Amino acid sequence: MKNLKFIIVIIFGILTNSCNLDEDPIFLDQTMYDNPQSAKAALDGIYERLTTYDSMERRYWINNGFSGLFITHRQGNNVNNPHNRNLMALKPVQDLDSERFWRGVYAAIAQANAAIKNISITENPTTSDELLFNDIIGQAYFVRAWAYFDLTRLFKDIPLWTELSDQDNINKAKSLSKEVYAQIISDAEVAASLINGSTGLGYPKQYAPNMLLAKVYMTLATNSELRNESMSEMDYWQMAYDEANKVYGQYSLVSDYSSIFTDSNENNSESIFELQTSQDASNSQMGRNYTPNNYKMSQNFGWLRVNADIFEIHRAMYPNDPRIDATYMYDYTHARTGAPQRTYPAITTRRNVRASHPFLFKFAEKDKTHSNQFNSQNIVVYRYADLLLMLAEISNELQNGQQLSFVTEVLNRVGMTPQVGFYGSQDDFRKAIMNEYRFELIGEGEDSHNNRRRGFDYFLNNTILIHNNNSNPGFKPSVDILLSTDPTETMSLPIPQIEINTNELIDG
Amino acid sequence: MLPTILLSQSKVITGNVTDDTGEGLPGVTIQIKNSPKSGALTDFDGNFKITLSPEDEKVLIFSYLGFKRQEINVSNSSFLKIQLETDATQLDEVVVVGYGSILKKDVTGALVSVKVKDNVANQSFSVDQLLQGRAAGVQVTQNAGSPGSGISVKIRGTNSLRGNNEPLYVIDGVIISSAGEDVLAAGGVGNSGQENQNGLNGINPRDIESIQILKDASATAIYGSRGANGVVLITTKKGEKGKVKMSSFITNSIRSIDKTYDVLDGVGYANYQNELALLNGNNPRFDVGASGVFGVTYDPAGNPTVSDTPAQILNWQDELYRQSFSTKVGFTASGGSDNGNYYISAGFDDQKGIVSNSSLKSTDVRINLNQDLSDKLKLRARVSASFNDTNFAESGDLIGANQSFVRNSILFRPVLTGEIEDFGDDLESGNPYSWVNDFLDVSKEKRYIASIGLTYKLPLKGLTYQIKAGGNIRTKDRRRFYGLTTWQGALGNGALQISTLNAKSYQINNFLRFNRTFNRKHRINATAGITYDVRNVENSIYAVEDFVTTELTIQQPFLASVITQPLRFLKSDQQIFSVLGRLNYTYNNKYILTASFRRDGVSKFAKNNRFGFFPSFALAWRMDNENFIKNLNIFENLKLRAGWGQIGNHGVRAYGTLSDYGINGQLYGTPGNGTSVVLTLNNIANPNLTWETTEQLNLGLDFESKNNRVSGSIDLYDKTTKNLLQNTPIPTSSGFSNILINRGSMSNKGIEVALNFNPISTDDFDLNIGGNIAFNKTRIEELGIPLKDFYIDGVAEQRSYYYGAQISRGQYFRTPVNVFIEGEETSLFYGLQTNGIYQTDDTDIVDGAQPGDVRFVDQNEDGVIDILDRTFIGNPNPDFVYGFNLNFKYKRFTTNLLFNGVYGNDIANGNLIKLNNAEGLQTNISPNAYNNAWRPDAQTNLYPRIGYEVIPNQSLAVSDRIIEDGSFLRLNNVTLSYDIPVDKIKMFERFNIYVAGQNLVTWTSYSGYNPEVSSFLNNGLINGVDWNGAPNAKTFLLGININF
Repeated sequence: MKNLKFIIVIIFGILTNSCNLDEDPIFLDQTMYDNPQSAKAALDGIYERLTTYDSMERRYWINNGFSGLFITHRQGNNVNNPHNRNLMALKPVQDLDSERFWRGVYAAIAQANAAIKNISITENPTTSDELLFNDIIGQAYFVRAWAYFDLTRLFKDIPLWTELSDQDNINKAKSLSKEVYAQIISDAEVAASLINGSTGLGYPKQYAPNMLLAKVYMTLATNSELRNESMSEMDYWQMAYDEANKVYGQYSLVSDYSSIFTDSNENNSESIFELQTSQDASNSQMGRNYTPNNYKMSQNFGWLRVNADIFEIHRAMYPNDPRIDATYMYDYTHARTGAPQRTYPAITTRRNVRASHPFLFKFAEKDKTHSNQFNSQNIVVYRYADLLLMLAEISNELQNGQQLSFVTEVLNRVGMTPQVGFYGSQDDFRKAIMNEYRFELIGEGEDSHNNRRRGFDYFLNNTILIHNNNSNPGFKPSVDILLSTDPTETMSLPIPQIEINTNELIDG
Repeated sequence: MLPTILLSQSKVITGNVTDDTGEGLPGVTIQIKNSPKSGALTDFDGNFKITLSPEDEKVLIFSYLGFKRQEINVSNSSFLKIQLETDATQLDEVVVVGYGSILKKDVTGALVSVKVKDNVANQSFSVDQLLQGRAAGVQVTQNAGSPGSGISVKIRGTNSLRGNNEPLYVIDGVIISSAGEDVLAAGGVGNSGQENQNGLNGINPRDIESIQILKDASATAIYGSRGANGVVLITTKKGEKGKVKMSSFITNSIRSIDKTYDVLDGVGYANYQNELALLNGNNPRFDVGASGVFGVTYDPAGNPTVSDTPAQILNWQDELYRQSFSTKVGFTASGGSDNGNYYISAGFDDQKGIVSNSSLKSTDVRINLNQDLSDKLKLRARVSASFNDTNFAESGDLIGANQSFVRNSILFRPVLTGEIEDFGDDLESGNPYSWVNDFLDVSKEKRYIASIGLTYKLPLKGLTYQIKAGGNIRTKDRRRFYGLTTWQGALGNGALQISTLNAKSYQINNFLRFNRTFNRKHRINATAGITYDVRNVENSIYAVEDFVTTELTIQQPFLASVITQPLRFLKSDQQIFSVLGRLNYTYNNKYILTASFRRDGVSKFAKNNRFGFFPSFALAWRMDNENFIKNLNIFENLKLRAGWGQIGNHGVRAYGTLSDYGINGQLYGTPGNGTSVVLTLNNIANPNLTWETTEQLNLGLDFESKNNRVSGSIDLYDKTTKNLLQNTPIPTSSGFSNILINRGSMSNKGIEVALNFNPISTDDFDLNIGGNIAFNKTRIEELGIPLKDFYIDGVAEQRSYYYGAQISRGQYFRTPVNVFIEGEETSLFYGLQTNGIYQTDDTDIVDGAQPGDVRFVDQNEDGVIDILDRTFIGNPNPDFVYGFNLNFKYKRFTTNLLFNGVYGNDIANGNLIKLNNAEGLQTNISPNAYNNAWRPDAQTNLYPRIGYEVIPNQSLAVSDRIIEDGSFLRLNNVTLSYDIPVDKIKMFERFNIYVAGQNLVTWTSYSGYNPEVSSFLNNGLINGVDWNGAPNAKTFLLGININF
C-alpha cells in the first residue's frame, strides 16, 4: 500500500515533466506577404517608417537646415547656438539629427527590401490580387529609389542595400554615389512599370517614379561625375524632360495655395507623393516642432525660421503674393494669453534671433485650439507645382520654347505674373527659376538639393554670398548666420559616426 | 529470544543503536554508569553486547560524536533498541548547495555564507543590501536615495558582454526571475525613457535565515545554463521544536541627501547670463543690485525697463531634496513539535525617498511549514506574498535636457523672473517643481512565491525521492503621468503611460538523493534529478495623451483622446528541460570529490543548438585530518580545494532565432485622418544562436585556527566565457540597430581573500574583525571582428574591436564612451585627451578653435581634431573591491560596523559636460566653470571661455575632462544595539534597542552624486557611466526588537 502511494507520487512527478521546447511567439512570419490584406499592411509599414520622427521630422530639419535659407533658436536664442553654428551655417558636424535621419531612412529601405524579397512579381497581372501585389512591390521600389536619392544627395557615397540584411550580412561598404544613382534609376523604372493604382487613394501612382526620374536626370545633367560617360548634359536634360512630361497633365494645381498646407485638403489633385498622417497614428510631430511658439494651445517649438533676407527677396519680387502669408508667420496672438506675438518683419528691431526672422508656417498646426503634440497634416513630398517648375527649368536648358508657359501655369494660381527675369536670357531664366522654387516650395524638402544641384560655385554665388554679402543690406552679425564658403564642408554631410563605429567595412 | 537470567547474577544486555533515520550506527561507545573502565562498542550494523556485573549500576550511557548522549536504565531489560538523537551543537554544519545540502566539511567549491543578523535584516528593504561588502568578489551597486530603484549584483567581475550579469536567485529551491525583469517602457511621450526598478522587491530580508553565494563552476554547474553569473541561494527561516516564539520589530529612519552638486547661485547666474548677452551682442537680461536680481525688459527701441519686483532665486537641489521619515514593522511567530514546525511572519514597510513624492510601501506575509506526514513522507511548504507600491522610484528619465528630473534639478536656472517668457522653448519649460508636483510614477507590484516538496524515504537505506514544485507569480502595473506643467505633459496636454508585467514561472523538480556513510570511511551524497522550468512573461504597453481633464492623473486613461501607443502585448516565454546529477564522495574525511553535470534544453535556441551539457569536477583535501598537520596542533580546519566546470548562459530574449514580422507599435495614417495597422519586419533573426559557455577553474584554501581566533579563505580563479551572447549594435544602414549573436570570448582572472579574526571571545566581551578583498582582471580574449584601424595615441593599430552604445538620446553625451577591444580589459573609455585651454599667445591653435577653447591633444599631429585623435582616457574596471566589518560586544552592548569600497575604477561623469563648460546656454553651471572661465583679460588653463561650444567636439567623442576616479570607501552601516535586561519582566524574552546609520561617510574624490553608479545597470554596452544618476542618501535609524 505504501509502495502504491510512492508509485503514484513518482508517476505524477514524471508526467509533469512532459515538456515542449518549441517557441510560440505572438508575431507573424514572412507568409504575411502572401495575403493581400497583410501585404498591404506591410506596404503601410514601409510608409510608416518614412513618417517616423527620425525619417520625417529630421528630414525636414536637415534638408532645410542645410539649405542656407534657415536659422533656428533651437537650443539657444542666439546665432551661436549649436545648430546655427553648425548645420545652418553649412558647417555640418556629427549631429544627432543627421544620424537619426540616416537610421530612419535606412529602416524604410529595409522594409522595402523585405517586401521586394518576399513578394513575387506577376508578369501580366490579371486578377485584382496580382495587380495589388504588383502595385505594392512597385511602391517598394519607388520608396527605395526615393530614399537613396535623398541619402546620396546629402551624404554622397553610401552603403547601398538592395537585399535584406541577415545574420551573415550586416556590414556593407560604401558605394560610389554614381553607383547609387544607377540603382535609383533602375528602381524607379521598375516602380514605374509596376505601380498600377490598385492601392487607391493616398498612395503614389506610376507618375511619382517618373517625377523622381526627372529629378534624378536633372541632377545628373549638372553633375558630370555622376552620370554615364557616354551621355552628355543635354541628353540628361532631354531624359528629364521625357520623364517629367509623362507626369504633365496627370495632375492639376489646386486653386487655393494655402489649402495645400492644411489637413482639410489632403490627397488633392496636386499631390503626387504624399505621406498619410493622422493624429491617432501618433507619428507626426511636425506641428510640435515647426508651429510658431505659442501659436497653438499645447507647447511647441517653432524651430524653423526662414532667413529674413530670403523673406525680403520674396516680398520684393511679388509684393502681394498670397504665398507669403501661407509660407511665413510673423504676427499672431498667443494661444493662451492672447498677447501679440511678433517677429520680423512685423517688428523690425531684430534684437535677437527669435525676433529677427519669420517662422516657416507650412508645417504648422493651423488649429489654434489644438492641444496635443501630434497633428494630422499630411506630408506632401512631391506636388505638381514642383513638376511644372522642373519642366520650366528643363525647357529653359533645352530651349524648347515651353519654359515660360510652365512658370505661368504655377503663378496664375496665385494671381502673379512671371517676374522680369523669366523674360531675360537663358541664364536670367535660370536664376529666376531657382528663386521661383523657393517662392513656391521653400521648406518642402528640396531646397538643399536645388541649391547645390548646379555645383559649389553656383551654390556659393546664388545662395551663400547673397546672404553673407552686401547684397543683404539687413545682415546683422548678432542675429544672422554667416554661411560657410568652404567647399569641403558645405556640400555634404559627414557619414554618421555611429555608422562608422559599427560598420566593419567603413573606415571614416 | 527469551531473556536469560544467569545464576552468577551478571546481566548481559544486547541491542541495536541507530541514528535518527533508523540506520545502524557503528562504533557507538557504550559505558556503564560510574564504571569508566568497562564498556563496549557497536559493530558495523549498530549491534552491541555488554555484560554488567552485579555491583554495576544498571544504567548504560550511549555516546557518539554528533549525537546526544543517552542514559538508559536497564534494570528491567536485556534487549535495547536505541535511537540516538542528533546533537545540533555537535553536528557538522550543513550548507545549502544547488539542489541539495551537504556537510560543510565536504564542500569542494567556492561558497560564501552570508549570515543575516536580525538588526541588519530589519534595516534593509531588499536582498542585495545584505550582500554588499559582506562577501569577497561580490560587488553590489545600489542607490539608497530612491527606494525600489534598480540594483546590480556582480559576482567575480563581468562575465559576459551582454550586460545583464546578475546572478541567479534561488529562494528555498525556487528560481526567481532575474533582478533585471521589469515592465517595458510604454513610449509615446517623445524621447522619454524609463529605467528599470528593482526586480528583487518582495523578498523580505527579515525572513532570510541564510544566504549562500556560489561562485565557482563546481558549485554552480548544477544550475547549468543559468549558473554562469553565480548563484545566490536564499534559505528562509523555519520554526524550532518547542513552544511558540514570537518576535516583533519596529524601525524608524530618517533619510537625507548625502551630497549635492555645486552650481551657481542666483547672483552668479545672473552675472553669467549678462556677461554672455554682452558677448553675443544682446542686451543684459538681469539687473544685479544689492537688493537682489531683477529682470530687465526692452522696448522695441531698445530702452530697458527694470522690474520693480526682485526675481525669485532658488537653489533647486535644496528645494527638491528633503529629509524623509520611514517606518518598518514586522512580526513573526514560530514553533514546532516532534512532527513538524512552522514559521509565520508579516511585515509592513513604509519607505520615503529624498524627493517628496518618492516612496515605497510594501506589505508581506510568509508561512513556512514542515510536517512529517508519516515515518517516510515529509512535507515542506513555503508560501509568501508581497505587495509593493512605489512612486517615483527611479527619479524620472535618464536622458538629456529637461526630460530628466535629476538633470533638471542640477541644471535648471536658479533665477525666475516674470519678464522672461518661460513657455514655448524646448529648453525653457518644465521647471524642476513640475517633477515633484505634477508627475507620478506609480508602480504596484504583487508577488507570490510558493513551493511545496514531498520527500519520500525509499526502501534502500539513505535513498530518498523528492518531488518539489515551486513557482513565482509577479504582476506589476506601472503608470507614469505627466501633468501640464511638465515638459512632456505640456507637449501632449497631459500624458499617461501604462505598462504592465505579468510574469509567471514554475519549476517541477524530481530528485533521487542518496546520502550514506559506509564503514565510516566512505561518505556519499548524491543527487540525480529531472527538472522542467517554465517562465511565461507577458508585458503590455499603452500610452495616451491630450486629457480633457488631468484631475484623475493615472487613474483614468479614458479621459485622454489621443492614443499614442495602442495597447500592445509583448510576450517572452521560455521553457527549460534539464537532467542533472551530482556526486559528492568523501574518503576517510580527508579526500573529497564532487562531480556534477547538467543537460539543459532551452526553447530560445533552434532545434540543432537547443541542448547544452555542463559538467564539473572538484577535489578537496582535508589536510587538517592528516597526521602531519594534526601534529602541528594549529588548524581546526585546513582544506585545499580545486575545481573545474563549465556553465552556460542563455540570457538573451526569447524568439531571437525567428524573424519577427509584426507590429512595431506605430500606425500609419489614412486619407481622412484615420489609422491603419502596419506590419513590419522588426529584427534580424539569428537562427545560429547558441549557448554562451563559461569555463572556470578555481583553487581555494580554507583555514581555521585551533581556537577559532583566525579563519579565512583564499580563492584563485580563472574563467573564460566563449560564444559570448550579445545584442550587438550593427550599422543602421542595415535597417536595424542590433542583432543577437554569439561572438568572441572573454576571461576573468582573480584572487579573493576573506579573513576573520576573533581575538577575544568571552561571554561578556567579544571582538570580531572580518575583511574581504577581491582582485579581478577582465580581458577580452577574442572578438571575431575583422581587424581594422584603431587609433591609440595617434597611431593606427590593427585591432579587433567594437564600440559601446551611445549614451544619451539627446545632443549631449551622445557618442559611445566604451570600447571593447580584443586583448584589452572590457569597456575601456575611449575619447579625446585634453591639455588645458588655448591661450591668446598660443601659436599651435588647431583649425576652428580659438583662444579660450579646450585644447584637445592632436594625437596624430595632423592639425585637425577628429575621431582619429581618440585614445584611451580611462578604465571603468576596478582594481579591487573590498569590504570589512567590525563587530564588538560588551555585555549587553553590541556594535557592528560595515565598510565597503571599490578601488581603481574611472567614471565618465556626463553631468560635467554641461556643468563644467560655460557654454552660454540658459542652464546653470558650476561656480568654477564661470568664475574661473578663461577670459581674454584673465586667462586660465582650467575652464574654457564663456560661450565655448561643447557640441562639435563632444559629438566626436567624450573628452577626458569628464573622466574621474571612481574609487571610494564607504561606511555602509553602523549599528549600536543594547539588550535591555528583561529577566524580571515575564512578558519579554528579549528587548533589544538599537540605533544605526547607513551611508554615513563616503571617502571619494568623485565629484558626482554617488560613485556607486547606477545608470545603465543592465546595459553591457555602457559601463562606468554616470548620466543623471540619482543622489544617494544617508539614513539614521532607530529600531526595537522584541522577543516574547
